[in-house]
Amino acid sequence: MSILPIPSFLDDIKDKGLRKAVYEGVDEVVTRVTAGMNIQDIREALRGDEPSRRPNPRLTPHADGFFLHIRPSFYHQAVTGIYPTFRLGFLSTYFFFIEVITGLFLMIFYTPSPLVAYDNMLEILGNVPMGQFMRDLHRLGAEGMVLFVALHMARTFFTGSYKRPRQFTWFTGSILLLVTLFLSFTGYLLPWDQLAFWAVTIGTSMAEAAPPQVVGTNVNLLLRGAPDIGAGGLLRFYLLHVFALPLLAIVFIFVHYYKVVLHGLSLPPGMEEIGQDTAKRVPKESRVYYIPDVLTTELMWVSLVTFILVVMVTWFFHAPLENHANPQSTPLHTTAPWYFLWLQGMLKLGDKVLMGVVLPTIIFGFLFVMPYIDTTRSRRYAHRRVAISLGLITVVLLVVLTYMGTPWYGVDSAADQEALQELIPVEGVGPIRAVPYDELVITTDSPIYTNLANPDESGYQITELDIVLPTIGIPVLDGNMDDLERMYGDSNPEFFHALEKTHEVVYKEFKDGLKNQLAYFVISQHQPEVRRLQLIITWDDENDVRQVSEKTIYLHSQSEWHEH
Amino acid sequence: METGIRSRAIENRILVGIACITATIILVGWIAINENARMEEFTERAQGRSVEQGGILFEDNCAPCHGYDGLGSNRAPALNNPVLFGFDYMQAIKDERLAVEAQLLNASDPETILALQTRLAELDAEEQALKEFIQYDYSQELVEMDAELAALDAQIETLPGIEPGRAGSIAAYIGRREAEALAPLLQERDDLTAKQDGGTPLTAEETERLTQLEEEIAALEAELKPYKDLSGQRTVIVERRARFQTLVDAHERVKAARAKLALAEAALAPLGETPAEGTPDPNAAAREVLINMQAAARSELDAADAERTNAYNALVESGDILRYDPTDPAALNRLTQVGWAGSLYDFLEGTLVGGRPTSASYWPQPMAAWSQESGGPLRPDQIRNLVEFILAWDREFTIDDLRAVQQFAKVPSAGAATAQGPTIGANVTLISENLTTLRDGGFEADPNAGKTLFEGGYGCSGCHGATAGTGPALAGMWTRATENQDNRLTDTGFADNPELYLVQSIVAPSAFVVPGFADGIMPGRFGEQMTIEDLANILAYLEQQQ
Repeated sequence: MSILPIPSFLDDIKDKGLRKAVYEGVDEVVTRVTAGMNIQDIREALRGDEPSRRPNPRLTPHADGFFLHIRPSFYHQAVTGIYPTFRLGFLSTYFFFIEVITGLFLMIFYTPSPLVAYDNMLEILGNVPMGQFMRDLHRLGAEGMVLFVALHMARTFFTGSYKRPRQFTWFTGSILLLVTLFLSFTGYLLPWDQLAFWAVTIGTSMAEAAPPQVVGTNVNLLLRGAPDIGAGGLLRFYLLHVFALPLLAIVFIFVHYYKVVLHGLSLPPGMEEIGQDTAKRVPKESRVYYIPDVLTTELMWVSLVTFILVVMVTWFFHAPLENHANPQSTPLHTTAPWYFLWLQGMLKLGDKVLMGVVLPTIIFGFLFVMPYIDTTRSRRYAHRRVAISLGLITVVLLVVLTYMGTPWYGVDSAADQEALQELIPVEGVGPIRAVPYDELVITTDSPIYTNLANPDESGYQITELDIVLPTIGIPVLDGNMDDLERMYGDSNPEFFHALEKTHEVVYKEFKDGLKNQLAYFVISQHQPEVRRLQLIITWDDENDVRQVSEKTIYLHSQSEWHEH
Repeated sequence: METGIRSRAIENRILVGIACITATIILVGWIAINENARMEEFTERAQGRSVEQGGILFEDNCAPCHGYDGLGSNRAPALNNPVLFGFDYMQAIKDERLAVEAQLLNASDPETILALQTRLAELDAEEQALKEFIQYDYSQELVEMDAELAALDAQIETLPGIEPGRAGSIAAYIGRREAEALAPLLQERDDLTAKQDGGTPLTAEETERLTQLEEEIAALEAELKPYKDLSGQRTVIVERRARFQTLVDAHERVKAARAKLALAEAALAPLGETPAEGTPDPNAAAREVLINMQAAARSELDAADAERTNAYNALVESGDILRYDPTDPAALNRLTQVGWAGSLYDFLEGTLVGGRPTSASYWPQPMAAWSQESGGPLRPDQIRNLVEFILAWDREFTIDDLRAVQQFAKVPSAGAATAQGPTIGANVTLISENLTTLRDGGFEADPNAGKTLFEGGYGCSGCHGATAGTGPALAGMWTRATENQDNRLTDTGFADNPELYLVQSIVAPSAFVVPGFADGIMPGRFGEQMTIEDLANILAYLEQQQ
């Protein structure tokens, strides 16, 4: 007879006592949640004991549970170490989930419109608790995902794991590589700062070059929504970034992983007979069960990498944010995102169509069909000398091309522009902005305004400048560095450092053909909390004509460039 | 794998995992509790950087008219300006008066009440004195001009022929040299040329002498040139100083007369009321003296006051100082002046976004709408940066700051210039026909009237100055048009009639934008303001700009 009119937990207590009844209740919940493992089973598994009851309860979560039904219940012992997988595929997936979680958070505070996108960034950084953390994590995760996906592909190539029967797995993996690159690339635009705008302008201009012209023009229009990137382009990139590409990624991650499980993880190349694939025929003594060994390993990796990421975003990595996108002003030394630098390097080598469109298409096309072309059977390193050499050459080429894609290679600007850009970059900090506000020495009450290069406007002839400037500015010359050090070395160390750096840069950049260069700092108190700093360089050009170049910035006591 | 090793491996993984998770939670918690401080810091930095951006924008876009130091120019008012920020120089006095008045309400003790009332009277006097100081006391300027003069004199005294300490004699020196050395030479030359002009051929000696004379005259004039330059500069300063001296003297006299008046009134007070007719007045003699003294002081004060006002007006008219009347509450605060109910930020932003509203009633040269939303060149974030930059001029202003201002904003007036008669519209073909009709009808276009309209009525010179500024330069405007620079005629289809290109540029400025200048800055409504006569006059003026 029940205590209540209906059978209840109270009856259990009455029958078995409180302790036992509660234990059995909890045990049942645990069993249901884990789809088959009770508390005792879990305890045994974590202790490393053999299961005490049959049928093996550690297999039922795979058979009956949703989350583990796609995971194999055991692995070959040879693939559970660091080698041969280096856990790169697992970590790629991990990064994808990090991106989804942080991305959803950022989505709450973001509107894809050029009018407000940049404000949203400032809002996320300045008014959303944990906003900077989430944005940094999202950005770092994106870089990590590109890196790990690329490394995963390289590993698969070098261990020959793309060979029969895993050709299609490789194919889907190539799709995922492309999706990853485009996910990262489309996300690049969203902050709507100068970095985003110009990197993406460079990237999409390749699409415009696709032959024939009618195709290029229309692909470009489809992508940007207009001849240039604007509101339409931003919205399209946003939708690709948060909807279309993640959807593609999810579909292909599952196809890819289904194939991985179907064929098993390929064993290290040396362990099998040539042409054999024994991944699915794991001898009993080589089996490592998912529960508990692989599961605990994976959880450990997840928590370890999460910890590393959090440490990174706390102290070492902050997602960049430059000034508001300005279609009218192209910053000097604009580059594509780092993973497309090799493309930019190729573009410097030749024709835009050939290098920017035709060759990349061939390269990616080859990537997709490579397993169907390379049908050799052996996966052993010794038998794949040509393939591995080609692979290594490709890696070296990529590194070299990436270097060539940077502004250090093949970009020649005028010496004065280079010097000014290095000292006071249009975007970012540079050695002069980094001087703390209080260290800036006021040199004059009446600085030179207006365009110095135009005598009509400035009221100064260039030849007069060399006479006027020493009276209103601090000259940074070859001969006076010791004097400057005496004057500022102790009292204004950071300022002196900037002077030193200026000296170094001006005398380095100007070594070719240009001479008699003089650099001056003219600093005035422009507003109560704002100082105006003008760096003026004068020099003789190849024809011994005196030239002048200048860069003016305003520095506010609050802006603290030296901090970031 | 052996069970023991295996279990230890699992244990290690769990240990590492738990350690990492714990560390992550601690780290995230630490970030979370620091978030408020971090966000505040970020916002401050972002604000500072916004001002920095604004500085560059100001220099590029606003400074040509509002001055690089924000003190204004003859084209536009100052923004680095106590009036704009509504800075109240009387604030401390006003605060104290409020406090004293509050105490007075609660006070019951007659002695306290008297003390408080005395303090109120003192405060009134202090406020009056401060107002007068702001408006009239230019004694510091006199000191500065003296220093300027001393520097100039030191320079003058280095010239040969000027005795030390006698720089003031430079004009006399020039006169003497001209009379003694130059005049005879000129006389001789004139005689010779008169002879020549009269038809008498000069002898060889005389011709030689004439050449020699020309050389001597030129040499003497070159010698006198630095004297004249410095003397000219000196005269300017001396005259300017004299104008200021007049004001300062008058101001001193006002103060003296006021003191005298106060003295007389103070002496009169203990004597009590004048007794009624018929009653004996024991103080009759003293009273009469004092009343006369009071009347004298009052008339002296009135005279000095009138003199001071005249001197002040003279300085304003000569352009030496700007009129600023601290007794007028509206003069203290631009927002009050224009009746703006929002914040200063809104006022600046609104002005930048939409240009200066009802421009014609404020200033002859209109300010364009600068924001993209109103068709101008600047993005919303740039507008914000500019406003932040202008706001960063706010501070505890000094009276020197007030006097450094070169142009206050004009007070809105009802009398905006409006076109008389029908306007021309924006249809260039139609305008062309009307122009022809007008000219066929015998209308004589007047370039001088055009100049007035260009500089005043329509304010074109605000942007089209002698050199290129916000818009292309006035100088050479006609030449650049007729010579089809940048294909402006071919592109607009006016190759056979360059004048119409200019007409189009006036009524539809966006049709062709000269390379290097931004579209959308020039107002597009001139066609609705101008009469055909105005246009013809302006065109006549432009035709002179070869």
